[in-house]
Formats: sequence, structure tokens, C-alpha cells
Amino acid sequence: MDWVGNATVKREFDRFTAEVSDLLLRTGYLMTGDAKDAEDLAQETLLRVARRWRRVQLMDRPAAYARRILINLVLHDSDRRSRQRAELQPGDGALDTGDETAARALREIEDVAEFRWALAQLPARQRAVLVLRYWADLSVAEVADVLGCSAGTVTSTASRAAARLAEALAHSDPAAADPMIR
Amino acid sequence: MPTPDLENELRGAFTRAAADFGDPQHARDRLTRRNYHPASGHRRLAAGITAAAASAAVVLGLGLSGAFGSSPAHATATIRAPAFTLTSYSNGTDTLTLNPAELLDPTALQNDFQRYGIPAVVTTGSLCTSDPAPAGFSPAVTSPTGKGEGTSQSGAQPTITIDPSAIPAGTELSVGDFQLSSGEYSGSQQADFVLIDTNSYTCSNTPPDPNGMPAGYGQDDGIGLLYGGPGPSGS
Repeated sequence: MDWVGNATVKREFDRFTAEVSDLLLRTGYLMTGDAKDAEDLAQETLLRVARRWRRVQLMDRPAAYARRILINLVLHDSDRRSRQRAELQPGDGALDTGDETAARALREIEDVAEFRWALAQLPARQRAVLVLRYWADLSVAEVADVLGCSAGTVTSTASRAAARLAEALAHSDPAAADPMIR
Repeated sequence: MPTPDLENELRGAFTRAAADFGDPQHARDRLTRRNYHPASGHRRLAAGITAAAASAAVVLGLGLSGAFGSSPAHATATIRAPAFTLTSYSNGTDTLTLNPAELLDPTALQNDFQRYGIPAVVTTGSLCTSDPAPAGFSPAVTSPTGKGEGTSQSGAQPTITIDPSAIPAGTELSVGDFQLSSGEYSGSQQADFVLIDTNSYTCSNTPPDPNGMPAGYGQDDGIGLLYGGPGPSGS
């Protein structure tokens, strides 16, 4: 009986898991603001990658593919829960004055939990744009590709998200909202 | 587009927030310990079986270890096939319930195990084993409805609980389902559950003794379920 042959595949996948775990956990953490949720997301992502492993391992950037799955899991969950779409319609981006206010608000953050809390107040797609653009350091075109929208939509969403983030920071009381912060 | 100054502030804030992830090493360890089952494109399964009739189910003496301390949390997903029901729970465990009225489709069960992240070889008419037996069967697999050798289950559908995260790396679950055609339990189906070493195992078409264990396996290294035999009312 030919039962052998998957040992090498498993080793390769184990190596991939070790390589991408940190990326997935931290991306999940920024998208959810919760370490346990991040771990669940990372695990679900790896399970999905495992199912398609033969194809994934032939890709140029399997880690990017895994990150895309994770982001889509968050967005799908968000879509399922409520609204959406309008967030990603190109619109009137924030004005430069808004950007200045936002930059100042970010500079004045004293506790990183405050930022995490403010980020959690954004709609999932706005959060995804910021995480992919400013933490994963993807180009506007790459973000657009991950989220399935136009580059213009990414830039306008980024501006709106930053303005909304500043607004949340201005009104933040994370100690009251987040039981982890005491 | 945000101004360059705002973009710099955003990058800095995200870097600090990502670094704030609590104890990532433990989370990484848990992720990498999980025994994922990457699709490798092969695996063939053994021959089919004939007929089975529903009646009482009996849990045999293939070492039952303690069931999970508490009942699983709420169900998050369920796969219903004619011969089995596989349910995933929010606490990470899964339950497999066998339907004695139907013949087990090993390919379907193995694929559905894979969907739930349970690495497994499922066969009918044979059981794959390793010698020596890998450690760690308990608490990866338990039978919450059975208590020991020869114990009848009140329902006709035997159930086992699987914790995929507890399946040791380098091992996978082996499920062998037999249609018994002779002996005391002739007419019943016998399903055996053991762990095997992914890189070293052999498969035998001889069913383990219903009251014993495969060679190399101790009493706590497996579970055997006898079900679907001719019950009191016959079939």
C-alpha cells in the first residue's frame, strides 16, 4: 500500500507555519484588538491554507496569501454582522487640516492601548486599509488588490479612517472601555 | 491620501501597537504545535464493506480514558453525512457520532476530518497502526458516552470526542471500520481509533480483538466501538 509521501509535505507546511505565525498573529491582533481572537484567526487561516497547500506552496508569496485570508476572515465576519460597502466608496477624503489634527492626536498617544481602542472603533474595512498600508507597508495598489477595490478607494478610505481614528482618540477613554487596561 | 507627516505617525503607532501583542511566543508555539493536515494529494482507502443493521451500540475495551472534564461549548459547525455526524465546538473540540444504520464512507469522513483540522487516516476493512504506539492518545480522543469494556450505550449512536490541538505533532488519528462477519459480534460494525506515527505505520485487514488492543498499544492507547449489530429485535 502506498501510504507514504505526506511526510515531506507536512514538514514544508510546518516550516511555513513557523515562518508566518508572527505575521498572522500580529495582523490579527491589530485587526481585532484581542490576542485570543488573533490566535483563533491565525489558526483558522492556517487551516484554510493547509487545505489548499499544494497550490499555495507554488505561489510567489504564500505568506501574503495567508495574510489575505486572515483579512478576509475579519471582513467576512464584519459583513455578516452588519452593513458595509459604503465605507469603501470613493468619497471626499479628509482635508489636510484633518490630517494635521490626526497626526497630532497620534503623537500625543500616551498608552498604546489607547491607540488599540481607537482602532477598534473603526469599521473593519477602514481598519484593514490602515493595517495593510501602514503596518504591513503594502503599496496602495497592493492594498487595493487585497481588498478588491480601486486605488482611489484605498487612498480616500485611508484619509477617512485616519480622521476617524483621530476623532476616536480625542474622545477615548480606553480604561473604561477595555477591561484589560487598568 | 493622508499627508506624509500623518503617514509617519500612523506607521509609528502601528509598530508600537503590534509590538504590544501579549506573549506572542506562547501563541506561536500553540499555532505550530497544532497538527495541521496539509493537502498532499494522495491517500487511498481500503475496500468497502457489506451491510449493517441498527441496534444497540457497545463500547469495547480498547482502553477508555477519562472524558473531557466538561461538556463541549456550543456547536459552531456540523457536517451531517448518512453514516456520521461531525460537530465542531467553540472550545476547539469536535465530536464524531456514528450512525449504525449506514455504512461508513471512509473518504467522506477523512475529508471532513481534514476540514476540521483533524489529521487522520480513515479506512474500512483495515486498521493502520504504528509499533510502538505513539503516546498522547488521551486526552486527544475520548468517548464521553462510554465507560469501559462492554458497556452498552443507551443510544444506538456511539460518539467520540476529539481535541485536534491535543493530537501530538508527527502523529495522526487512525480510524479503522470493520464489518464483522464471524464471532460473538457477527453482523456488527467495529470502529477502532488509535494514534499512528505519520512517518511509520502499517495497515492490517485483521480487526483487533474486540476486547483487546492492536499489537504495541496499551489499554489507554485506543478506543474501540462496536455498533450496528443485530439487536434484540434483530434486523
